[in-house]
This record gives sequence, structure tokens and C-alpha cells, in this order.
Amino acid sequence: MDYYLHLATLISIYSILALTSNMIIGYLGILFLAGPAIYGIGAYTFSIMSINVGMSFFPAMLAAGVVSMIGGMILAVPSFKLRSHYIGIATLAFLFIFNGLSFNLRELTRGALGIPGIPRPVIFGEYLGTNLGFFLFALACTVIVMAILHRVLHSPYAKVIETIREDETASKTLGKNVIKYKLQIFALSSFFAGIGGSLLASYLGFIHPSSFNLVELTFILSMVVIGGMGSFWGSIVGAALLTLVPEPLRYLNFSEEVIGGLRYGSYGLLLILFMLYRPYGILGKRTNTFNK
Amino acid sequence: MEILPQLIAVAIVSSALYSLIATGLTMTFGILEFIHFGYGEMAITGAYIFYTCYMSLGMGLIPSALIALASVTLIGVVIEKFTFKPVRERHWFIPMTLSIGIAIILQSAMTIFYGGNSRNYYASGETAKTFELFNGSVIITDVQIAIVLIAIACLLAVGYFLKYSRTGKAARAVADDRDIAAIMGINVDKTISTIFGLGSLLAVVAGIMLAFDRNLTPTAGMLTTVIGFCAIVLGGVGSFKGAIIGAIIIGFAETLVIGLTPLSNSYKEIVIFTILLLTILIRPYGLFGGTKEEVESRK
Repeated sequence: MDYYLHLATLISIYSILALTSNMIIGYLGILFLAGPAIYGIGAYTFSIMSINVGMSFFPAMLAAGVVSMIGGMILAVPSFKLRSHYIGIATLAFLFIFNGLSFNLRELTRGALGIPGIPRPVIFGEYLGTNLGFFLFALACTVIVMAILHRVLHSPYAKVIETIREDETASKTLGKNVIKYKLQIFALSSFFAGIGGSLLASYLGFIHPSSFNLVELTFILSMVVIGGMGSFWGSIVGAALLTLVPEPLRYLNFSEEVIGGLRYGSYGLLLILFMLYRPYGILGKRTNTFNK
Repeated sequence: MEILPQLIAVAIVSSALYSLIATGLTMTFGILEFIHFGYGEMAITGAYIFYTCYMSLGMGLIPSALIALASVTLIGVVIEKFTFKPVRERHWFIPMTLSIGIAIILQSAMTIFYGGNSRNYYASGETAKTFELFNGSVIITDVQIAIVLIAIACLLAVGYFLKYSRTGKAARAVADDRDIAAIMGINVDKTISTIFGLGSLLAVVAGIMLAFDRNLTPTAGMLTTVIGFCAIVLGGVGSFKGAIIGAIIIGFAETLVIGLTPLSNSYKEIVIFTILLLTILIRPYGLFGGTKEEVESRK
């Protein structure tokens, strides 16, 4: 039972992380490869705020969201001028810089030692030490975040965002302030990514620079792409699918390293098969420019 | 500043390695028109195949290298034929994501077969032969000298091939405009396949030399790709010379910054990627890539 609760909690947290990346990649059409850096900033801010500064849970979470949002807004700047591959490389460079800094700024992040003992929240005077308690809490957070984002992503506002993806020049011609919209989406997405990151840190209780590296990026990117780019429910389906698919592997009788390799390889195989036969993912729209 | 000559020697070796990677990558990028994220993984795969032949099976240097070159080139051509070709006419996002899938599969295959520990090409106790140059102010190994010479030879050969050979001319035509090249009677499929194979070949040469100079880990591939791409973007996409100049800038910048400031070796990647980010923000299309209009007109 505990094991299923563990998976369910992961799915619920990763739904937030995948959806926030999807907002930029799928809805706005920007090759955004710094997702783990953004929620990593959130996770680190949360841990440092709650352990070193001694903030309680919710203020620390809010701080994490705000710091991630600032990071995201800085990352939005290259996307004003650049197109396609360039922005992909710029965001990837940001991910590497974040990774390098989290290894090297030892006073702040404890470097390769990682930060252990990240607290869980206290709700109604009850410390959520059990998996059931934390699952219910994570689910509640996810539902709130999803409700807000659902409202945003199914509004006329989102239609403007999708228009920018399909044809930026046309949106400008229609008098839309493209830079403003891009900045808003980056800010919104990064804020909730920071919230998701602090949930992840709090649930795992331990973070390490390699919790936010390229492997995580491919994990998130697979969720977004396989679930369906620019699809709200697709990100949730993608998060669930990619969390569950490699699970049967743990019953195989191999060493830890081989299981890890097979687990990672299964994402690669899924990505290749989807790109060849169903590039718009499970729930994505065929009309998305990226899928043509 | 007595350390400076030594730093310059190290920087030249790094630049040579990065130039090879960047050149192969810019060739594949030019002709495929998307970032092939599996490129660095192909280099690492080649380096591991070389490891098996050279260290485990005890074969000679040349036969091992030939086996590694042949097998990875074959893998590259097969990958191109069965995965990239079917999605060639789609939006670049699709083949690019596909190449990430390929990178993941190659990387996990390396992890499964060889484990996550780092390896090198020296038997225990054995090290590279060192030479002293300029009255001992520069100490360099035989491997490093070989790296620089091989890299220069490969770059000259590739440059000559692209400029004067029939396939090279066809490749430039295809990179410029695929449809018009096809109308002019160029066999587009064959040209793309050849250039992709050639790119894979360069990747393996770079991979083996990289592993000789540093260590070999299964996860090094993606970083290799991204550093190669940094060189391309720094120099300006689409120019062969730009890629080499970008690689030289990166090679010198990382060595000199680490050597002359108190920053430790683990800041290397931060230095490279900060330079890249700044370049992209100030001169979005690279140092030699021209203005936005010029780049857009070239596509």
C-alpha cells in the first residue's frame, strides 16, 4: 500500500512539473530545456529557507515560488529575440550553469553532499510523517494548482498564447504585445514549477545537485511530449505513464545499475516510438505547429 | 606568468578536440537541420567499442580504432535510415526529440554493458610518455601531440572533401536547399546518408581521443554534444570556420579562466556556458554569424 501511495504522490507532483514545462514548450512553442533548473531553484530555495532560515512550510514554499519565478523571467529574456534551436541551447546552458553552481556553492547548497532532513508540513497540528498524509496533502496542492492553470489555459488568454506559437508575426500585427505575453507565461509557469519543486523536496526529504540534471530533463520532456504538447490533461497522463512504465523493471533480478539503465532506456524507446508513429502524443492536437 | 606556456599548450589540445566535435556536429546540423543530440553519445559509444577491442581483447591501436570507426559509422547510417529519414519532412522538433531518444538509448546501453564507473585506456601503472618543450616550460604527452596532429589532419581532409569532392559539393547544395538540389538531380537520400556517416566517423575519432586525454564515462555524451553546439553557436551557425573558431575560443577560455583564477576545475562548465549565454544575449547569431537578416535569408 505504501508503495502505491509513493507512486501516486510522485505522479501528482510530476503532473505539476510536467504541466509547467508544457506551458512553455507546448502552449508557447518555445524549446525550453531548463525545466529541472527552474524547479531545482524552487527545491533549493525551499530547503534553505526552511532549514537554514527557519521559515515554516508555507512561507518557504511561497519564497520558492517567487525565486523560481524570478529565474524563469530571466530565462524569458533570450526568447524575445531568439528562435528555435538557439533558445534550446541557451536554456540548456542555463541548466548546466545551475547544475554546476549547485555543486560548487558549497556554503549554500552543501555541494555534492546534498541537503538532507528537509521538513514536511504540519497541517492542523499534525506532522505529515506518513505517506498517506503526505499523499493527501500533495493531492490537494496539485488540485489547487491544476484548477488555477486549467482556468488560465482554457481562457481566451490561452488562445493568444497559442496564436503566438503558431505565428508570432501575425500576433504582433494584431496588436498583441508578444514580449508581455511571453514574460507572463514564463513567470506563471516558473512560479508553479517552484511550488512543485518544493513539494518534491519536502516529499523526498533529500535533494542533491543530480536531482535536477539532464536525466530529469529527459524525464520531464518525455512526459510533456508523450502526453501531448499543448494539452492540459496530456501532461497528467504523461506523468502517470512515465512514472508507472519503468516500475515492473524493479522485479527483474538484475543489479541496481542495470535496472537504472533499463529504466532510462525505456524512456528513450518510448520517445523514439512516439516520434515515429504518434508525434502529437497521447492527447496532443495534430494542429500544433511543432507536430506537423 | 611562468604557468602561461603550459596553459596555452593544454588549451591547444582542448581546442583541437572541441574543433573536431564542433565540425562533425555542424556538418550534421547543416544537412539535417536539427540538433542531433545523439552525436556525443555516438562519440562515447565509439570510445567504448575501442575500449573493448584495445583493453579487453588486447588488439592493437590501429585495428581497434578501425573497428570502432566502422561499427559506429554503421550504427549512424542505420539510425539515419530507420529513424531520421521517415520524419525528415516534419517540423524540426520531431527529429530533434527523436535524437534525444537515441541519445538516451545509447547512454543506457553503455551503462548496462560497462557500468557507471569511469575508465581510461591505460593499464594500471602505465602512463603516457611526456616530453619537455621550450626548456621545460611546457610539458606535453605523446597522446596530446597525436591529438593535435590527428585533429588538424581530419579538419583539413573534411574541409577539402566538402569543398572539392563531388559528394561534398552535393552536400553543400542539399544543405542550402534540399528541394532544389533534388530537382538538379542530386541524390538527396544518399548525400544525407553519406554526410551523416562522415559526421559519425568524426565523432568516433573525437570520442577516442577525448577518452585518451580524459576519462570515459557513459554520461559524458550529452555534455560533449552541448559543448560542441556551444562552439557552433559562438562562431555562428552554418560556417565551417566559425565552428572551429568557436571551439578554439571555448578551449582557451576554459583553460585560461581555470588556470589563472582561483576557481577550481569543476567551474569549467560554468565558464563555458556563461560565455555562451552572454554571447547569445549580446550577439544572438554568433560572433561570425552576421546580423539577424543575413542569418534569416540563409535560413
